Amino acid sequence: MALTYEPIATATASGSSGTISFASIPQTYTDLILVMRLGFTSGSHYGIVRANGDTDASSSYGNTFLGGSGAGVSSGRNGSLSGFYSSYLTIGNTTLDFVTIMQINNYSNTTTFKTALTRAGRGSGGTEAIVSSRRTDTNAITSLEVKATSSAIFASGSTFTLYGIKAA
Amino acid sequence: MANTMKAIQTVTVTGSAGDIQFTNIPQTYTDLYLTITTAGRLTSGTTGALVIYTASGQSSSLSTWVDARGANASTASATSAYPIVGELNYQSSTNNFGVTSIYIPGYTSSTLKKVFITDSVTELAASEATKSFNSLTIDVTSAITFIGLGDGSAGGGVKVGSTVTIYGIKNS
Repeated sequence: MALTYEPIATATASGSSGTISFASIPQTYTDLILVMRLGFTSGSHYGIVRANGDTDASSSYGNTFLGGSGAGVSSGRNGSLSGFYSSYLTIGNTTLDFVTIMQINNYSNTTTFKTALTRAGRGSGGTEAIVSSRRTDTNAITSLEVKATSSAIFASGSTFTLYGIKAA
Repeated sequence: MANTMKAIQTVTVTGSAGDIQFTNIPQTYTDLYLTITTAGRLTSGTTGALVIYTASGQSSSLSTWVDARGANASTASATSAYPIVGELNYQSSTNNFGVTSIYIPGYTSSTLKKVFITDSVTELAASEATKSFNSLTIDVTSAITFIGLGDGSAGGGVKVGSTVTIYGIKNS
């Protein structure tokens, strides 16, 4: 177990925006954990987590996912993405019963590309694990932005908490 | 800034085996995290399911669960009304054990359903290893003040030596 599990910042959606930002992330931890409890005001969507000001035009991310729908297991590989995907399980309700836990390892180092491990799901909507990478530069991650897909709006009460984990 | 992940309680099954229960869970944290080491189920029948309940005698009809699982060379996914959080095996030999972790965000909420994100691995007497990850929703909106863990299909509980630690995590 890590020595520390400290809250860096927390945000609660008001129901009027599809973007949550964490700026000026301290460089004093080893790993980051982002815990999200999500819903959307309309339509079925998911969240994409981008680092250091990356935009829709970014294509430096890739992932491999493994998921279970209840009817079967699926696995796949996607490249040229614009962020760390929180899930491929789209959600469309406002009951906030979809949870994502994303761990970004060794985020403050400046010599390696960055990797995120994600667990996501809800009982009635599937379960999923995703490993994502950001491959174009080795800069430390100093900011994160959670963006809803297709210009969707996070449902009021959706929560986003960023924790810092320190190695010994 | 303070370390906000703190151990609330550890329970190790000793003497007579059975379910593991936590009562009077403090309402001062944001999320709960449980680490579980099981020594297998009491009832024979090889494989079973480790289940969680947030009230004594809670109906399984309140639950929806889905998993993705690999057991040796095969994969599968299933759904159930049982509140399953992991695998729980039985063999007469002692070479039978498992580890499960459970993350429960927003457990003090009185308005939201409770969601459990879990990962589980088991070893079955050197003949099968299973890894599963699970998502579970219990359709209860009241705050979680009680947690029980047991053998869902047989009701016989877990073996002596099984250990659970419950941690609280604060977001501020």
